[in-house]
Amino acid sequence: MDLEAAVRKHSEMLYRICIVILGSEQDTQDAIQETFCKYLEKKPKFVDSEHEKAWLIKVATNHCRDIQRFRFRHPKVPIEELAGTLVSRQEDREAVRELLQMPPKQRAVMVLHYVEGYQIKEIAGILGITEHAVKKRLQRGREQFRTTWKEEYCR
Amino acid sequence: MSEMNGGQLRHAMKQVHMKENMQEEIIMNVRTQMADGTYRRNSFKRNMVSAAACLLVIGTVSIPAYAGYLGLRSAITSDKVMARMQEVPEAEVQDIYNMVQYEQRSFHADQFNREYTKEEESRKEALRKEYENGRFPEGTLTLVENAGQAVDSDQLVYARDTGCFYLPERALTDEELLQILDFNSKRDFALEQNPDVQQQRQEAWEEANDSDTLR
Repeated sequence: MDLEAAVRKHSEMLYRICIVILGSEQDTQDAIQETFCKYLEKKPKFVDSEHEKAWLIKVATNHCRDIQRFRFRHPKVPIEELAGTLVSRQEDREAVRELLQMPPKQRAVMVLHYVEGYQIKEIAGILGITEHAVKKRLQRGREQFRTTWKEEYCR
Repeated sequence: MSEMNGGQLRHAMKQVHMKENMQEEIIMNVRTQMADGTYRRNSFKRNMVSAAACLLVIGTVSIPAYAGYLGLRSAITSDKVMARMQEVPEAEVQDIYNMVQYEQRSFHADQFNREYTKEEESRKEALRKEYENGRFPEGTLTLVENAGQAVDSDQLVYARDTGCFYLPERALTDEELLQILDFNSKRDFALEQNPDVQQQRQEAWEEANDSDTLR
């Protein structure tokens, strides 16, 4: 397995997912590192690069879940501050802030669907949850965004 | 969510990037964790990977070619480089092997007195391809016994006692980058001549053949 190539190819994508789930730069880096440790340990055989990507997301989100459940190792950064660190444009900051205010499970589904372009069935497979649960989380996320956009930008 | 809002979220998140150097830190930390047993479970496969990574980590901070060594094949994938390595005198191979053994006991990875610049990184990558195609340095990397001898800030040297590359303050020349690549190939080669390493590789092959395909 070529660790360096895999990190170069996938770590930005994993970073986007983990940072919105964990809200901490250091915990995000830990989650990504553990993901790639597992990648080296398991040496999984992939059908194609999409398969590899989905495997990495699955492992990374599992690590995020473990970190959330058992060991937040680093202090979480306030949402406003984190949004400001991640993006500079005001409108982007609002979108990121809105995302970060959602429950973590909802954030993961939103990012996988709207940012990484996965369909409901695929997300269910990656996260190990039912399609119904994915739909519900997307629905709640959409409602939250719709409310915000209506208030902030549609006046 | 309307199309505009989905697009807005996508646009915003695509602006999110890792901080500079995080990729390098991740690569280095993963290799270190695999090598020093920080990431450890009680499986034979993990032990095998850790053993291989322990060899791997020497020089891996900057030399991506080491990634190939983690598993099951030689880190030296170029026939031209391999032919060159086979011309290295046996005494030199033994000396390098002893040095690597010392490095393994003492360090997790090479040290550098400064980071490569982006320009050097990119040139090194290009030169690595040329190196594998037969463009070799005219000279060899200067090795010094201890860091105290690395006093000339204009000279590239490697200090054996600290496992540290002292890069000159100015930009590295192509010749110097080739010397670093060559030095790392020699370390790979020296390691691979060791019977223990050959045994590990054999076991890794057998382990890989038994591993499950991801479902």
